[in-house]
Amino acid sequence: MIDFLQNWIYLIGSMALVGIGLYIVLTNTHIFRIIVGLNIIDSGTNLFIVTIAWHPKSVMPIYTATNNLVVNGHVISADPLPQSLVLTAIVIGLGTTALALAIAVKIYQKYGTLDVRKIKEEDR
Amino acid sequence: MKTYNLAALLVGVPLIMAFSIPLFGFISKQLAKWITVLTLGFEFFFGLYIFLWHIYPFNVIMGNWIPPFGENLYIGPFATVLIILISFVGLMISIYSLWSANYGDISHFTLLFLMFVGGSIGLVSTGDIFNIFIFMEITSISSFALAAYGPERRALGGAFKYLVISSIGSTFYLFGVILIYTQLGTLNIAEIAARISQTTSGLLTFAGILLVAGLAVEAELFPFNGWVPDTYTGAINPVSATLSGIGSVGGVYVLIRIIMTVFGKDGTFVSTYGNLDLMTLIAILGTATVVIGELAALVQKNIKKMLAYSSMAQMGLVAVAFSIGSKLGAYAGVFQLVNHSIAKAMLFLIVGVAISFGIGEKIEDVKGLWYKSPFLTVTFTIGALSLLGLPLFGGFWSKFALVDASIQRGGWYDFVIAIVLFASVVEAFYYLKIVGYMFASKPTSTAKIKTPISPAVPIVVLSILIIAIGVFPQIVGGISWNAAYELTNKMGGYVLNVIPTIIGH
Amino acid sequence: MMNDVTIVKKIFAIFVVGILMIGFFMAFTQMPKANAVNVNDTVSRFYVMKDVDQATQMLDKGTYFNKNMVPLRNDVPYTPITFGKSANLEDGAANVVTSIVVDYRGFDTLGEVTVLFLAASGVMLVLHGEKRKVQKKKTPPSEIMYVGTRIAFAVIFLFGIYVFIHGHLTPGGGFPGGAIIASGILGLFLGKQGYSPNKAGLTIFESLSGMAYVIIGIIGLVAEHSFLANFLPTGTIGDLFSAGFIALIYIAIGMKVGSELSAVTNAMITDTEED
Repeated sequence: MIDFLQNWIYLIGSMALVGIGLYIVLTNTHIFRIIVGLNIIDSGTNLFIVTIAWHPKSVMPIYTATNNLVVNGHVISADPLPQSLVLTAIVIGLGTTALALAIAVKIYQKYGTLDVRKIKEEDR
Repeated sequence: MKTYNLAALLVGVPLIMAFSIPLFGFISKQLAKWITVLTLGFEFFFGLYIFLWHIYPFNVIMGNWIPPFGENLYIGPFATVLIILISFVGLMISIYSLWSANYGDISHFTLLFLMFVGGSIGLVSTGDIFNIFIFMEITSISSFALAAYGPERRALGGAFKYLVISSIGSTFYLFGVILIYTQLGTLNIAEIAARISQTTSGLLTFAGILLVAGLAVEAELFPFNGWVPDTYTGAINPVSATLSGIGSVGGVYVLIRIIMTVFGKDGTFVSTYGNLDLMTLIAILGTATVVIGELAALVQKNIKKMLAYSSMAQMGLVAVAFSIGSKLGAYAGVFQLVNHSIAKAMLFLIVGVAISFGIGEKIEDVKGLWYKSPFLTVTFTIGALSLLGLPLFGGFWSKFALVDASIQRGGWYDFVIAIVLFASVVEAFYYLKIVGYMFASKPTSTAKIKTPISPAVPIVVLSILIIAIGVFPQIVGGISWNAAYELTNKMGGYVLNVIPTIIGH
Repeated sequence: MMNDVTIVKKIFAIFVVGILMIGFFMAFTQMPKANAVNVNDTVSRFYVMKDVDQATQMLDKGTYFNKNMVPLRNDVPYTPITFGKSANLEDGAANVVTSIVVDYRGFDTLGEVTVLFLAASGVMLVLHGEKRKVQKKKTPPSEIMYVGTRIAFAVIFLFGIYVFIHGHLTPGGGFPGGAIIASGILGLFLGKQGYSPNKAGLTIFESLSGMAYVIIGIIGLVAEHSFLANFLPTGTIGDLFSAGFIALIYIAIGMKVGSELSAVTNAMITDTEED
C-alpha cells in the first residue's frame, strides 16, 4: 500500500487537479472562477512535471558539504531537468494569470458584470 | 552539420529592441513605431540573406552546448521560407501601424507587436520541443494583450476567450512534451525524431493526441477554433491581420513539425508512429474545418467576421494539404500557407483603411466603394481572387498543387478534391458578392477616400507580391520544394542535419 | 431552459474530463519506473564539449554518436565531484537545477524572462488610461503599520538580493528573489494610503536589466562564438565566485522580475480602486 501510494499518489493528484480545473473552466460562466480553474490546471501540470523527476529514494540535486549526488556509482538525485522546466511553467502561468486578471478588471469596468452570459447579451 | 551562430541575432535583436522600447517611449511615441519598422526590416533582410546566399540549412548552437545536450536553432528551408514570410508580413503591418494604432499606450503596443513577430520567428527556427512551448507562450501572451487593445469593448471578450482556450491548449502541449520526455529523456527534436520508435506505443498515442489538441488551438483547426471569430472581429485591424497572417503560420508550423518530423514515419506517404495515424486525424480535422469555416463565412453579414471564418477555412486547407503526406502535398501546404498569409493580412489591412474612413463593417456598407476609392477596391479584388484561386494570382498554384497531390494519393483523398472545389466555389460566392457590391450601385455621396501613404505602401507591396507569385510561381516554388523535402524525409532532411551521426532506428 | 443548458454543459464537461482521465491513467501505467541511474549510463559525460570548435570537428569526423548510443570515449574515467574542492568543472554551479536553467538551457530562460516582461507590458497596455480614482475612506493604516512595513521592507529587500546572488549555490535564484523584492514593495502599499512607487524608475530599471541579459548573451557570442555562452571561468564548486556568468544573469533577472512584479502590482492596485 505504501509502495503504491509512493508511486501513484502524486500522479493521481496531478491528474485530479487537471480534471477539476478543466471541469471548472468548462462549466462556470463567471470570469473570475474561470481564472481560478486555469490556475488549478496550472498547478496540476506543475505537480506532474515535478513528480516525474522524483523517485522515493531521491535526494535534492544540489551539491552541499553533506549532500552528494553520486553514491556508489549511481546518480541518486532527482532529475534536475524537469525541475528547471517547472520553473519556466510556473512563471508562464503567473504571466497568464496576471494578464487574465487585468482583462477581467477591464471587463468589469466596461460591462459592470463578470458573468459571461450577461456580457454576451450586452454585446448583442 | 553546418553551424552559423551569428543567426542567434534573429532572436536576439528583436528581444533587445523590445526591452529598450519603453526607454525610447520616454522620448517619443512615434520613435517606438519606427524602431519596430527598423527591427523587422533587419529581420527581413537577414532572412533574405540566408535565402539568397543559400546559407541554409544550418544549426545555431546556444550557449556552446552542442545538440542534443543544449538548445539549438535549426534553420532549414521550411524555417527560412517562414522567417522571410513572417518578417515580411510583420514589416508591412508595422509600416501600416505607423498611421493607425494611435489609441492608448502606444509604446507598449508596439513592443508587444514586435515581440509577437520576434517570437514567431523564434518559434519557427527553434530545434527544441520545450523551447517551442516558450515561444508559443511569447506569441500567445502578446496576442492576448494585443487582442484586448482598442477602443471597442467587445475586444475584451474576444481576448479573454482566446486566453482561456489557448492556455488550456498550451497545457495539453506541455503534458504531451513531458510524456515524451519520460520515455526518451531528451527534449531535442532531432533526437526525439530519431528515437521515437523506442517509445511505448500507447503512451505515444496519447501524447500525440494531446499535442495535436494543444496545437490545433493556434493552428485554428476544428473543434479548437471557437475563439477565432470573436477575437478577430473585436481586435483592431492591424492586430487581426497579425493574428491571421503571422500567428496562424506559427501554429501550423509547430503542428506540422511535431507530426511530420517528430512523429513521422518515412515512406511514400508519411504516416506516424503510435496506435493512431495522426496524419489521418489531421486530415479529418482539416476537412471539417474547411467545410464548417466556409459555410459559416457564407452566412456572415460582418466583413471582419467573414474574413475570420475564411481564415479558418484556409488553415483547414493547409492542414489537409500537409496531411496528404507526399512531397507534392507538403509543397502545396507550404505554398498555400504563404498565399494565405499574404492575402489575408492584406484584406484585413484594406478593411481597416475602409473602416477608419467611416465605412461600416457590414457587407452592405461597402456598396459603391469603387466610386469612393478605386485603389482599395482593386487591391481588395486582387486579394479575394488570390484566395479563391484564380489563375494569374498566387492562390491558383497552391490549390492546383493540392488537387494534383490528392489525385496522386488516391483512395479517400479523392474526396479532398471535392472539398477543395467546394471550398473554392463557396469562397467565390462570398468574395465575389463583396466585390460585386463594391462595383455596383453608385452611392449618393461620392466623397473620395484619399488613402494616406503609410497604409498605401504595404497594400501596394502585398498586392504586387500576390500578382508576382501568380505570374512567376518559382519565387516561392523552389524553396517550397526544399521545405517539402525536409518535411517528408525526416532523417535526411532534418535529423542528420542537426545531429549528423545519430543512428536511431 | 437555462437549467437544461447547464445540465448539458455539465454532462459534456464530465465526458471530456473523463476521457482525459482515462487517457492519463493508461499513459501512467506505461511510464517507466523512476530509479537511481548508473553514472556510467549517463551519456552527457562523454559528449559535451566545452569548446564548440572541438565539438564541431568531432561531428565532422563522425565520432559523436555511434550505434545504440554507446559512448565512444569511455576511456575517460568518472571523477567524483567534491563540494568545495573540485575546480574548473563543466559548469561549476553547486545547484544543478540552476546550472540547467541558466547555462544548459539558458535560451529557455531568456524566453521565460520575455514572457514575464510581455505579461507585465500587457497588463499595462490593458489597464492603460484608467484615471486614478479618488480613494474611498477606509481605515487608514496605523503608525505601527507604516513604520513596520518600512523596516520589513529593508530586511525583505536584503533577503531578496541574497537569494538571487546565491542562486547557483542554494535553492532560489532570480525569479524567487525578484518575487521576494516585489512582496516587500507590496508591503509598502499596505503601509501607506496612496503610496505609489516611481513608475518611470521602475520602467528604466526593467528595460536596462532586460537589455543587460541580452547583452551578456551577445558578449558570449563575441567571446565564445555562441549566443549565451559562459565566458567566465567556472571556479571551485561551492564558492560565491564560481559558475561563471550565472550570478551575473541571476542579478539581471532578479532586478527585472522585482521591478516588473512591482509595476504590475502598482498597475493593478491603482486601477482597481472603486469610489
